[in-house]
Formats: sequence, C-alpha cells, structure tokens
Amino acid sequence: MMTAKKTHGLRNTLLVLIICAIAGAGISFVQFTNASDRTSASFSIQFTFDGAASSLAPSGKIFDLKELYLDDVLNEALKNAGMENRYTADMLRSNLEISGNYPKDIAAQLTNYESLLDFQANRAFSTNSYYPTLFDVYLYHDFDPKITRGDLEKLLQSIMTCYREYFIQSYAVNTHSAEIEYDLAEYDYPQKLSVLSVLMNQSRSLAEELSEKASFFLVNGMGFNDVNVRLASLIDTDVAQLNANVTMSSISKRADRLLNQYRYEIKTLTNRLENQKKRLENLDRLIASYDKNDIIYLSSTDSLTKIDGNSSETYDAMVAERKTIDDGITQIITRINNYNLLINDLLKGSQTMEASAGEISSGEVETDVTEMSQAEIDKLAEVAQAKADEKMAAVDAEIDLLVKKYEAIMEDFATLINAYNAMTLNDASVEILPGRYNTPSLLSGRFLVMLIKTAGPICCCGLIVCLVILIMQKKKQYQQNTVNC
Amino acid sequence: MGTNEFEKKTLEIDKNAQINVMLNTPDYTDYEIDLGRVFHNMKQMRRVYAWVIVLCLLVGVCAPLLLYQFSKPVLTVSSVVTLNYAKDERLKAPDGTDLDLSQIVSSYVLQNALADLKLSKPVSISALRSNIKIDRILTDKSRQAQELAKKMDQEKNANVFNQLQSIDLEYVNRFVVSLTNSFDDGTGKNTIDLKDAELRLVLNRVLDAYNDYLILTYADQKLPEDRLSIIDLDRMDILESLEQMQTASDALNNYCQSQSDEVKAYRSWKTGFNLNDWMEFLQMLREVNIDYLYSYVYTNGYVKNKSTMLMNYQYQLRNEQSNLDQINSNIQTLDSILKDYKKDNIFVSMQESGTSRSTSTTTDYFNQLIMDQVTNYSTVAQTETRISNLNDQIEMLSVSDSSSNLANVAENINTELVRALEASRNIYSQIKAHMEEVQASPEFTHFAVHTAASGEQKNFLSANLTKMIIGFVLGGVIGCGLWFMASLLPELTRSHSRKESKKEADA
Repeated sequence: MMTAKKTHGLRNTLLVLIICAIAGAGISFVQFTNASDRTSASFSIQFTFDGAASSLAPSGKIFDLKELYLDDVLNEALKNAGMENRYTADMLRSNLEISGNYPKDIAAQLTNYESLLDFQANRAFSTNSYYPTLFDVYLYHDFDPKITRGDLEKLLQSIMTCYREYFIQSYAVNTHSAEIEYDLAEYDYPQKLSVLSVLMNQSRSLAEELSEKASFFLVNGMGFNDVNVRLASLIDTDVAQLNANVTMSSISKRADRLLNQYRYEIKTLTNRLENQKKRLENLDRLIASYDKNDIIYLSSTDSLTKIDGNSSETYDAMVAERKTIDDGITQIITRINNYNLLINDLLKGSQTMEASAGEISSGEVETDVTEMSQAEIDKLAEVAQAKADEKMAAVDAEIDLLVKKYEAIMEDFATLINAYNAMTLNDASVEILPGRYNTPSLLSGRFLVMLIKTAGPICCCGLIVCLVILIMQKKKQYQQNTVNC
Repeated sequence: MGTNEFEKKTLEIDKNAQINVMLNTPDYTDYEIDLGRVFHNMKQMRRVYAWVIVLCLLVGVCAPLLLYQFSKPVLTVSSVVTLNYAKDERLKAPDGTDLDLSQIVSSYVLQNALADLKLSKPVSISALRSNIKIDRILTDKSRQAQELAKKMDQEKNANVFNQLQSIDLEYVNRFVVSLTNSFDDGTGKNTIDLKDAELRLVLNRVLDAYNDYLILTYADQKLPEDRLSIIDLDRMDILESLEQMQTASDALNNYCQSQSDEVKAYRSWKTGFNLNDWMEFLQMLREVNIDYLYSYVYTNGYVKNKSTMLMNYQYQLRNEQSNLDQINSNIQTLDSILKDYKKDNIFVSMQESGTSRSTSTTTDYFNQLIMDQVTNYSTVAQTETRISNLNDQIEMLSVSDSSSNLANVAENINTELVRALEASRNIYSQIKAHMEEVQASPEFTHFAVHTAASGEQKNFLSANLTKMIIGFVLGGVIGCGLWFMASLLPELTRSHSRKESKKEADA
C-alpha cells in the first residue's frame, strides 16, 4: 500500500511538472514570436593594412564603411547578382546595417578616472581614439520577406565584393588621369615648355609624396625616390636647357603675338603697380598717425588685470596688411622685369642683325617696348620670326624627345604605383570573412535560453506546489503514526 | 503450567495499581525543557522536515530568478563621440566657438534620426529626449584642479574660494552619449520598451543625425560659381567673351585659394590631382589660352562691333569713376572723424607707492574705423586699376582700325576662342567635380564620429548568482529552524502542562 501511494505521489508530481513545462514552453513560444529578431544575412570585413587601426587608408585618407551605402556600390552589386530588375539601391540601403567591433567597455574606459590623490593608483588613463578594423554588415530581409536564404546571402556577398573593389580603387594611390588635353602642336614654344613644366612638376610632387610615405618600396630595384630624381633631372636639366635655348634664341612661331602678350601683361601690371604703391603710401600715413596705447597691468594681492584697448591687435593688423601689399608690389615688379627680359630676349635676335658688334658684346640691347609704336614692334617681330624659323625644326625634335623621356618615366611611375597598390590593398588586407544567416528558429540557442528562462520558473513553482502537498501528506502520516503509538 | 501460562501470570498488570518511578536526578525540575527529547523529536520528524528543508532551499534559489523575471533591469546603451576636427582636442565647435551639445537632443536631430526608422513600438521625440544623457569629459588638468579644490573645501582651507575662481574647466573633444530603454508612452502610466537591437540602432541613428547637423551648420559646402555657362560666343563680342573668361578664371582661382590647406592637399582618387594642381592648370590656362588670345585681340582691336564695345567700356568707366568718387569721399570723412576722435582717459592710482598716472586708450569702435579705412584704401586701389585698364582699352579701340582686318583673322580667332572656352569649361567642371568629391569624402564629413552603441545586460544567472546563494543559505537556515521549532513545540507544550499540573497539585 505504501509503495502504491509513493508511486501515485510520484506520478502526480511528474504530471504537474509536465503541465508546467508545457505551459512554460507555450509562453516562451509566444514571447519568442513577438520579440524575435529579423531575418538577416551577415558578413564581416576586416582591414589589416598599415593604418587601418587609425582609420587611415594606405593613401593617407580617412575611410568610412558608410560608403557601402553609395549608389555606385549598391547598383553594381545588384547588377553582379543579377537582381537589378528586382530591387533598387534605396530598398537595400534602408535594410543594411554596419557595426564596428569596439571594446564593450569603451565608454567606461573613457569616463574612468584615477584620482591624483591616490598615490597607489595605476596611472593608466582613458582610451584615446579607437577605430575598429573589423566590421559586421547585416542585410535584413524586410525589403522582400519572401527572399530565399540563398538569394539574400548572394546579394550581400555581391555587395561586400563590390564594396571591396570600390575601396581598393578609391583608397589606392592614383596616377594622374584627368581628362586634360593639351595639344602641344597648337601652342608656341614657350607655351609648350610651360605646359610640360607644369605637368612634370605635378608628377614630381606626387612622386615626392609617395617616396616619403613608402621610402622602402622597391620594384626591380627602383623606388618612388628614383622617379622623383629622374623627373627633377628632366625638369632642371632638359626643360631648363630648352627654355634657355627658346628664350635666348628668340625661337617662336608667332613672335608678334608673344610680344603683344608680354606688352599687354606689362601694361596691366604697371597699372596695378602704380595703384598698389598709392595704397601703400596711404597705409603708411595711417600707421604713422595711429597712436598705440600703453598696456597697463593693475596688480593686487590676488590678481593681475590687464587694461588694453586692443590697440596692439589693430596696429599688428595694419602692419600685416602693409607687409602683404609690399610683398605684392615686389611680386609685380618681378613679373614686370621677367616680361621685360622675355621681350628683350625675343627682340635680341632681330636686333643683333642690326646692331653693331660693340653694342652686342657689351650686351646693351635694352628696349623699352612700352614706348614703341605698333609698327616698330611689328617690324622687329618680323626679323625675330625669320631667325626663329631656322631653329624651330631642331627645337621641335628636342621637345619630342623630352616628351618621350617624360612618358617613359611616367610608365615606370605607373608600374610602381600599381605594384604598391597591389601590395597594400588586396583581398588579404581587405578580407571578407565567411557569412552567417540569422533567422529566428525554434532550434536556435536564443529560443532555448528563453524556454529555460520562462519554463524553468514555472516548473519550479509546480515543484514547490508538489513538495507542499508531499509535506502535508508526510505530516499527516507522521501524526497518524504518533497517535497509534 | 506451561510457559505461556507462566508468561500470562507474570505479565498481568493490575490496572488500578500505582507505580512510582523515582529518577536519580537531584536538580531536575518538572518544567525545564529536555533537549534530549527535542533532538529525539527531531529524529522522529526527520522524514517530514527533510522535505521541508528541500522546499525551503528550492524557494530560496528560485525566488531571485522569479523576481528578476518581473523586475528586469532596464538596458542602457552608450556610445563615445569624438570630434575629429578639434586639433587641440578641446570641446569646441568647428568655428572655434563653444559647442552646444544640447543640439544632440534637439527636435531637428531627433526627427531626422527617427525618420524612416521602423521600430516595433513608436517612440515620441520628447520621450526619446528624456532618455538621452550626455556626459562631458574634463581634461586631466581640469579634473585634477577640481579634485584639489574639493579636497581644500573638505579641509576648510581658506584659499578654496580663490582656487575655485582660478579654475577654468575644459573638456576634451570626446563625450559619452547614453540612451536608456523604457520610454514614456505619453500617459505617464505605462512605458514603452524597445528591443535591445532597436535601442542600439536608435542611438546610432541619433549620433549620425548629429554629425549631419554639424556638417550642415559648420562645413563650407559651397561649390565654385559657374560664370562660364553664360558666355554665348555668338551673342557676345570677342573681347567681351574673353573678359568674361578672365573674370571666371579669377573667381575660380579665388575660390580655390580660399580653401583650407587640408582641402588643397586632398588628392582625388578619380584624377590623382589635388586642388594645388588644379590651380596650376588654371594659371596655365589663363596664360596660354586666355591672355594669349586676349592680348592679340586687344592690341589689334579685333572686335565685331567697335562702337558697341566702346560704349560699354565708357559706361563701365563712368560707373567705376562714380564708385571711386564715393570711396574717396568715405576716406575723407573717416580721416576727419579719426582726426577729431576723443579717446578714453584712464587714471591709475597706486595705493602702495601713493603715485598716480593718467593715460588714454582707444576704443573698439575707433579700431574698427581704422580697419574700415584700410579696406577703403584697398578698394580704391582696385577701382583705380580697373579705371586705368578701361582707359587703356578705350584708347586702344579708338585708334585701331580693326573692321577691315578682322575678316582675315576671324576664323583663327574664333577657333582659338572656342578652344579657350572649352578648356575653361573643362577646368571648371574638373574643379567642381573635385570639390564635390572632397565635400563627400569621409575626410571632411567626419565631424563627430561615434563608436557603435553598446551596453549589455548581465546573463540572468550571473546577475542573480549572489542572491541565489544567499537564498539557498537562508532557505537552509529557515528549513532547519522550522524543523527545530516543530521539535521544540511538543516539549514546550509538555512543560507548560506540567507546570499547570503542579500548580493544581500544590493547590
């Protein structure tokens, strides 16, 4: 009888527990359904190139993963995935989420403060700026709840791949590739050399930047500094020699036009010079009349007060303005002198034909072209032109050779840059890690945790009830035994 | 007699007989509690109270878990915001003024943050604002000064007031923004709880919107003006077109010059050029294309309609002359004002030495007038230069006899003019595209960057572990206590009844 009672008791207890577990599972299911996360695919992207921890790309620029939202990237991704007709970039953009991996306690680290008066405190102060190098990218399926797992993962993979390509392209070092066309044949020789000088100097500037950034980088024994040196040599030697030849020998296709230009520049600059000088005089007069105040400090036991009507700042501003005007005047005078020299060089060719040997050897062939009449200038120009025609063919050949040398250097430069980009930015330094598919599932760990958290306490309550009943039964039994005895 | 009969005889008890048992315990009193009996009772009740102890232990362990389910702590997520533009690492606006952090919770920012955001439950802007907290971070120097002042105050140091006055609190260019869950639903009775992931998303969006606000307010996003599209070569005269190109080129150059060094050094990933390179191209364009042609046309007076051009120049000259007269008049007026201006007198008396001194000082208004005069001189110089150039142009046009020669060179000039205009427009579009790339690049749109919003609630087991251990111990103690009390109770009852019996017997 006792055994039967025990079995009955155990059975009832089990029954209560099973009912509680079922009730708990039901409540968990309802809670899970209401609070479940959205279905998403996710990939991680990791940056391992030098500078990534400071959010700096190899080109030295700050990068931001939010560029993943750009139309260029999303449209390309849709095209590559073959879904450009199904979805648009806007649909994807609102369902993309990027999250960088930061230390979880970064806010606490920043607000933590070790007291100055605590001499035993470890003086490790707060975290400075932290930039993650690992990012998680999520694509939620809300734009198309019926999209299959395969399609969602394929689409996100395509987005990540396109973003990587965009990143490599936009944060790599780029060679000069703007559509600036200068047809050298259309220009006169001084202008040709001017154009070539500008282009070469810009290339040299880029080579110098890169040689400072990556002085270690060599391809077949050649580095960026070598390119810099070659360009410098080209500019300082070849271009300089050509310039000297063209200028001193007055070689020009249209000497009259060059003369007109130089004359016009001198006239304009002269007008400006006169007015700047007047301005300088006025300002000097104002500065001389300005009474700069004394600076007075009132001292007391606790403080020091300065009394100043800001006259120092005003005076300094006027003097700074004066210096700017003075520098401007110097520049104008220099330019006028340069143009005068160019004019003299241009006309020297013609004048040497007419001047005596003595005048030539003494070098005194100064000409004030601004005082000449147009007819005089035209005559001189004709003579200069005739002389120049003789030398033009040779100069043409030299300029062609110069251009070829420049192009050869630029080819080597481009090779170096491409190799440098391939080394710093590649699939390994911008790595896309395997993806995951996240969907609420009854077999997921999240549901199991929720089940335990919900059903567990309910089962405990059931067990408590069962125990109370058991205790009451045991007590009754004990009392009965006591009475019998 | 058999054994049974013997046993029967010996075991018969006289029910009326009285049996007295004397225990040899000299100090025994009838109403004291016998612990031995109590333990004996405990031993007898062990089967029952073992279950009671198990029940108490179970309740002790489960109670904290159950309470946690009903009163789960509210999640707070935090994000660290860093102001990237602050070179001196101080909490200032990009223009150097004080930064108003309350803009983070302004309606504009919060509205933009919540725009197009689908949340499981709607949250109002005011509720969101109430749950956002911003913590500024003092610099180490300021914290130390504050700490010392506090210490002095605690020690009742007499100089604490002076110390406090000398403290100028400074904040670093980083601060922490926190968002707490559980938003007011507007009625004041209920609260709205967002999911953890939604809470983080909302904070991230708020900080993104704040960054956009800073860009809108402080970033110079002006693109270069297009003064070239208005040039119509068919409608305008040659000189007029070229002058317009010169003006456009100057304006573009001024625009580029006004950019900061960082902007000028930014190298485009599309072209490989930076703004300094483009300025060189612009200068080259000006010399090689525009001025080269302009000087040719200007010197030879190659214009389509000489009389119209002369009339234009004379009209411009008249306007410039009028401007010049006005500025010269302003200069004279200011000169006389400055000459007669009375400065402030200051009288300084020094108590210690008994001496005194008087001096004068300029006012801010006087200094402003001085700088206005400097500007006037600059304007005069520019106007007079333009007047001189206009006079030269009028003189040149007047003496030239261009109409007969223009036909010979019109085609070449036109070709060059078209080339110059195309080159100018090309440079302009390249510079505009370059500036668009600059203004969209992270380099110049990262005013306020923030870490990902983070904040975790502890695992429910680890959060309650201490309470569970305390509950377990308490449950055990209570269970054992109940067991003891249940065993003690009969002895107490017995002792009480003995007392009563003795009293009755004594009575």
